[in-house]
This record gives sequence, structure tokens and C-alpha cells, in this order.
Amino acid sequence: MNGQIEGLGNAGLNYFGSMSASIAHEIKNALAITNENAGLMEDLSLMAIKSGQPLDPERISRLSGKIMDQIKRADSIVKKMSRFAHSVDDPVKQIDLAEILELTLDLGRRSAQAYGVTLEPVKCDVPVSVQTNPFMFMNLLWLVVKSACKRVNSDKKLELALSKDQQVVKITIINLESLDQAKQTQQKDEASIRQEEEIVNIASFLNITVDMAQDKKIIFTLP
Amino acid sequence: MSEKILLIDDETEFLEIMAERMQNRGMDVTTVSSPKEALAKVVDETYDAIIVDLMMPEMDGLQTLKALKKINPDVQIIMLTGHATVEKGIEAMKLGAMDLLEKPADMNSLSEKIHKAKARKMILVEKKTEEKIKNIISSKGW
Repeated sequence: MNGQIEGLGNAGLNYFGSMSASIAHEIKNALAITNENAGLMEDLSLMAIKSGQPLDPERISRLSGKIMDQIKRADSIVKKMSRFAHSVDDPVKQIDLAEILELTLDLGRRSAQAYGVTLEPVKCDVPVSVQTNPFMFMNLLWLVVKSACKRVNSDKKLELALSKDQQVVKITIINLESLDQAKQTQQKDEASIRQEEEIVNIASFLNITVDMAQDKKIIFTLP
Repeated sequence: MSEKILLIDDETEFLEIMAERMQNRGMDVTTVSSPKEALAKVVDETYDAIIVDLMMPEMDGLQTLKALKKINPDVQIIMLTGHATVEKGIEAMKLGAMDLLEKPADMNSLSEKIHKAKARKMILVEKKTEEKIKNIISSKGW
């Protein structure tokens, strides 16, 4: 094992595994819809042969359009999977922050749904790039987003905003419950304690400050 | 008589197209995109088979399976899954699923499993009716 893989640790392997499973599920769903659309075209053809009635060309065109939509969907998933897989290539790399935030949220969208939470697109006014370890940064961001999903406020929409003020880059997660409310509703089990430890470890490795003690928000400050 | 089916999946496009293909095969299909809607349906209606996606937001397929069985223990459930692991499959069968089918599913295999589900349900209904009659006869002392 090389140093890069060892550096990922258990949190990294868990993240890689859970995102890969989620991607596989999404691809399977696209394949299932493609399969059913193709199957329906076959059904309609057989019914036309049996009844002697011609096929409705508009219907066939609509069905083939749906198949093409699913191919585009699967292709977009595979492109994201490829970007995710290549995030382990370089220990340190210059990354476009808005792009990597969007990718992390896209990959985690289905998992967030398990908490009944919708991840809103990232709000970003200026292009920001930073030097960091892309995979570990995504892992850290996802661990914090996952933790935030448990304390999102009643509209169940989690928002991320990216800002840069005099060389200080901040990512703010908003739409959270107040700390008091969160303390009342959240139980600290073994998994969430471990998750908090992982956040501290990765943030410290990347030299990122994650302030989770703010009321109704979480702030990342990047070096 | 046509098979009465409840189809549960969060992918609405998948639901629409599957329902049409099943209806073309003479089945009576109701679709719902969330487990909560499904639980409400099962309280008032009986189905020959319920087809459940294993991975859904809100409540996953195994939780849905447990909740459906709680409402009606005789219900015949076929699990559909995008990423079947052996563990999940075993768990589903232990919880009382009739069968498990991987997505993309083959319509002929699914139809076959639906026929089996209907036959199983009919046997269960017949047994229950027989027991009821036996109970009535023994309690009246005719």
C-alpha cells in the first residue's frame, strides 16, 4: 500500500465505498428504465404484429427519446464517477472549489435523501481555487454535510455558500437548527462520535478549520 | 381473473413504464412512489403481490417490508433491487419476502414470480376460510 492510500484511513475507505455503492445504484436505475422502455417497444411491436395494426410512430419516437434521456443520465453519472475516482490521483492539487463542492453534493444527493434532506446547488459569487488533497477534502465536506443533515431545519433544504474575502475562503452551511434545538433532537451515538472524530482528524490534516459550534450554521475556513 | 399488484418505487418514470407493461399483460396495477403511500393503500386494499424497491429515501425497502408485513402478515412481497448484496437478500427473505429480483428485471421472470405470489396468496386465503368454517362449526356444536 502506498502512503496516499494509507492516508485515507477508515473514513476514506468508508466514503469511497458508500459513494461507489450509491453511484452503482443510480446507474442500475438508469439501466432499469432503459430496459423497461426497450421492453415496451418490443411489447408494442409484438402487439402490432398480432393485431395487424400499425405501430404509432409518435409513441415509438417518445419511447426512444426516453431511452436517450436515460443514456445521457447514465453518462453523466459515469463522468462524475470518473472525476471521483481520479480524486485520489494527486496528494495535493489546485482545485476549483465550486466545482468540487458541486461534485461532492451530486454524489451525496441520494444519501441525503435518506435523511429526507434536499441538497441545494452551491451559492458562489466569485471563482475560488485552493491547493489541497482533493479526495480528503471531499471526504471532509461530505462528513460535515452528513452531520448537518441531522440538524437541518424544518424545510429540509441544506444550502452551501462559498465566499472569499481578502484571501480568506469560507464555506458556510446554512439552514440548520439552532444548537439548543439540535441538542434536544440529536442523540450522540457511537457512530456520530466517531464521525466527529474523523472530521477533526481530516480537518487537522488538511489545515482546515471547521466550526460546528456556530448557531444555525457550520463554517469551514480554508488556509 | 387478473393479478392485483402494488408497485412501489421512488423512480416515477420506472413506475409508469413498468405499470404499462404489466397492464399489457392483463395485470391490475397500482403505483406509488413512497413507502408511506403504500402503507396507507395496504390498510384498505388487498393485493396478490407487492413489488418493492429495496432502496428508497424516507424508508428503505427492508423497513417497508417489515411495515407491510405488520399490517398484513399474509401479503406476498417481491423485492426489486439495484444492488443486491447476499446479506440484504437473506435479510429480506428472513423478514418474509417471497422473492428478490435484481434490476434491470426480466419481465418474464417477474410475471412468473407474480403468478406464484397469487397462487400462494390463494392457498393462504383458502386455509384461513377453512379454519373460520371449522371454528364456526365447532363453536355452534351442530
